[in-house]
Amino acid sequence: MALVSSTTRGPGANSSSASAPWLRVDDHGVDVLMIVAALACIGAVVRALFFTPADAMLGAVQKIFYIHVPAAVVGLYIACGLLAVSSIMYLWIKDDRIDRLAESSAEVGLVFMGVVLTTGPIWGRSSWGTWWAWEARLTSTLFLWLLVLAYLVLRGAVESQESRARLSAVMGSLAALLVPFIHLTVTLFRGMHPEPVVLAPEKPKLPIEMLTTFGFSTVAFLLLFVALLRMRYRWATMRDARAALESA
Amino acid sequence: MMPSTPIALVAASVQDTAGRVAFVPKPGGPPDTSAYMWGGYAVAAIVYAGYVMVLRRRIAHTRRAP
Repeated sequence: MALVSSTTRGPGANSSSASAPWLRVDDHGVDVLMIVAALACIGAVVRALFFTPADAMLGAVQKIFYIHVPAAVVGLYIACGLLAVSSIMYLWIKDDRIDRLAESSAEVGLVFMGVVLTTGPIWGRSSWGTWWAWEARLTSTLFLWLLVLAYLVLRGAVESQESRARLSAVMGSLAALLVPFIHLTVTLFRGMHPEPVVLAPEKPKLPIEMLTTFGFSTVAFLLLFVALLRMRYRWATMRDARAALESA
Repeated sequence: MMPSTPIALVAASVQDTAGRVAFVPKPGGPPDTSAYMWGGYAVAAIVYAGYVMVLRRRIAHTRRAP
């Protein structure tokens, strides 16, 4: 894949990637992938709200599950996984495009984790009677969010492009180490957060109607992540190309 | 010191929880928690739509920059 095979260095060296086929939008600036992702999300939400049964114990609020858990899967496992892989790869082959990919996945992941950290308390207020509890799953997820935020702040604070990319690659790969710990918190510690119902060790603990809606929702959120990542990467490429032109 | 109200009367009175509990389960089915559901979906929609707008503004600003 061209994204990782190049070993060119310097901010201006990769400005041609702004016209890479997978980044192109049409002449009117319409992003087809974003439209497809938005339609998929609307479809998943309509199915969740109007065509999926409510939980017998929790009532309608349980339907937050169909946005809370897919956002967690995408934000923690996929975005932070991509941040870790691209950060380690940057330290290895020093390609600016991989640095931009790490930066983009961190920022988009921050948005998804933000949705997790806002929808979770709304659900918790109804189910637990409190907006927030300082238990292991919630607290470690908040720490990861703060670490990724610090990663982005660090990027803005370092002037030198090479130092910025190297330092943030180290921080990004270390921050992502928190993800396996977050996954295990519900089994390692006694807390209020429920254990996994979909990724349960034996089999999913959901009725088929709810599981199907969850599957639709996860695919829609995955599409949204790819569309946002592509848009964010495209902006980072344009920004770096312009900076290279200005410094030339 | 004895309380001014007999404890049996306190127990028999309707307790004003002043919003400290989220819901009172109803005998006929699950509690009405739809307001929380709509709130959660609205927050998610605002966050994602807001981020798309931020990205669009950034791209437009970078294009316009001299």
